[in-house]
Amino acid sequence: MDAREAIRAFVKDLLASKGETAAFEDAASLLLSGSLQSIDAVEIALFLEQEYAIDFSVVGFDEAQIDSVDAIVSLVEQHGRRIS
Amino acid sequence: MTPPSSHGGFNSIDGPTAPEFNLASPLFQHARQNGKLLALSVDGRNVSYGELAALAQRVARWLTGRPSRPPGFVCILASRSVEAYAGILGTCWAGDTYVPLNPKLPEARLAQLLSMIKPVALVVDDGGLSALTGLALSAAPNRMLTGFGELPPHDPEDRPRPMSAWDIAYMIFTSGSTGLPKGVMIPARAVTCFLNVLSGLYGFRPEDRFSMAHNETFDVSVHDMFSAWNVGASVHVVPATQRMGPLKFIQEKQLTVWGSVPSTAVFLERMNMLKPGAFPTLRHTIFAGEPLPLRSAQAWQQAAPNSSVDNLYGPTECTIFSTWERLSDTPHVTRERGTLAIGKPLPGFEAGVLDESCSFIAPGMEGELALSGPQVATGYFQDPERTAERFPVIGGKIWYRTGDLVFQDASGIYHHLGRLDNQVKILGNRVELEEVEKHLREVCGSDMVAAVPWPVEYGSAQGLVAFVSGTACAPSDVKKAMRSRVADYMVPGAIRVLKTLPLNANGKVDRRELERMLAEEQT
Repeated sequence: MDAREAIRAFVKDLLASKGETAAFEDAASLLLSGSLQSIDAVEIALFLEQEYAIDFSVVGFDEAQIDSVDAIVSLVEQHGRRIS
Repeated sequence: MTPPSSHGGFNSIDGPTAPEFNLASPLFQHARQNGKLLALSVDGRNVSYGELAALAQRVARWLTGRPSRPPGFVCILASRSVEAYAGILGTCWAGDTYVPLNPKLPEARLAQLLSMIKPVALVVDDGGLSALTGLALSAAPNRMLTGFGELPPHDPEDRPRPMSAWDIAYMIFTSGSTGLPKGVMIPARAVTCFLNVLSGLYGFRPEDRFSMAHNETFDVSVHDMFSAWNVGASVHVVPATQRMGPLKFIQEKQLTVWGSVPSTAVFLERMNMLKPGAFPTLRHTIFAGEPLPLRSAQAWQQAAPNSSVDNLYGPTECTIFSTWERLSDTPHVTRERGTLAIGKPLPGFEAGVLDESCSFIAPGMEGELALSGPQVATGYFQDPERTAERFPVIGGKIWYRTGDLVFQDASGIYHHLGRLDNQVKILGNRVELEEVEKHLREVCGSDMVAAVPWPVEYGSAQGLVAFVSGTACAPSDVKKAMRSRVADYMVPGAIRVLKTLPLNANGKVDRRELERMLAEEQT
């Protein structure tokens, strides 16, 4: 599974756990739109740290960086590496 | 028992005759003395004291130019923008009462608030303008400031209007258990006293660089703004998307005073972002709005070795902060929760613990925290019954019954154990579960609904989960409908549909059982 697929699957599961089962675009806003909340940002950040070794103490943390699948993929491409 | 003794009272202000109660006065003075000093940094724009005072004064002239001139409520439908801060300061300058409204509120909620308040004027920024649609627009006053280009010219001789001690400086709305938000009215005397007390505690300086991480509808923002502008320091507005993880912002802006909800420290700690010495410029850190986990406070202290790290507690009804506790090598910990204690009353406050019959009880016993002193609010807007209930006179003094369950230990330190009612804090925002459930019932067309704070860590809720039964509505539709009714932090993050909801012995929905179900799922 490539990074985009893995990230999309993670986000899909996260949305489903909140009762959001509708189809979504990779460019769709997740956090700023209110589909997901602050606590979910933590989940996304932990996922990126564990799966792609993103060190937010170096990169900094901005919700805009993880607000859509596209944004997350871009963050991983710039700062991540696959661990498992 | 008689009320406990006072903690003292340096810098407190008694009586209505103190000379200066207008919150904009220090801005005016600093602008005159050194107008080029930085007052505000927001969204890439730096605004000097001279510029900010001129804008505030022009807003005030626009406000005072209205036909009828008794002081009134001015709603600030703007947030984290120059217009928002100039609107607040201009309202103060004019001697009116500012009422911040979040532009992200749903249309119906905004309309409800505007209809209740009946403001004499409304100040909006771009975000506020886009929120003014349909019902909200219909409820808006005729006098609206939608662009600063329409303001009258600056008059450098025009000063902030005198205010009496009992004039209402601001009114902030919080969640209400009846389903209607409550407006808490704070008199000028209370804010002035608060600012004097805090300045005495911290010794803020003109070279300080304050964070502004809170929305204006959260009363800690009053400290962020006015503690800074009182001494000629600068305010740096944290971009909304960086409030959870402000590592780079604190470093780049070289902040010296940080204030936020403890969730910020919890998040940074969890993400391993609190490296030792990461924040060398910080002198003071003020956490408020929710319980402060000891572990996160200690991690923050390592990251900010030159900073005091304090836990400030206080209901909106007692003007921002009422008690404080500083992290030390031998911290006072509330062992039941793993959090730093809420400490001792701030100078000027008296605190005591009440039993169910509203009598003070001995130290060591658990009961409701009550507070008295010059920072206590005037009461609730248009709600004398609730005001009388929550602000009783005991022993000839007005007290505020906080609804918080506490005990005082042998060293005089207060420990917060939770709530006596169904109020929860979500990222510092007060939420009455009854208010969320009222909307859930209406949206679902069913009485079988419950809102449960979840997950809860260190006594602090991260969000809400709703349980509903007997409804044909899909969870996503329920969520969508809730978003159109209440503030975003009141929208449940997940909606669970069950065949039936568990009931307790009184026949009411058993929230504890629902919490237990969620806990079981987690394990």
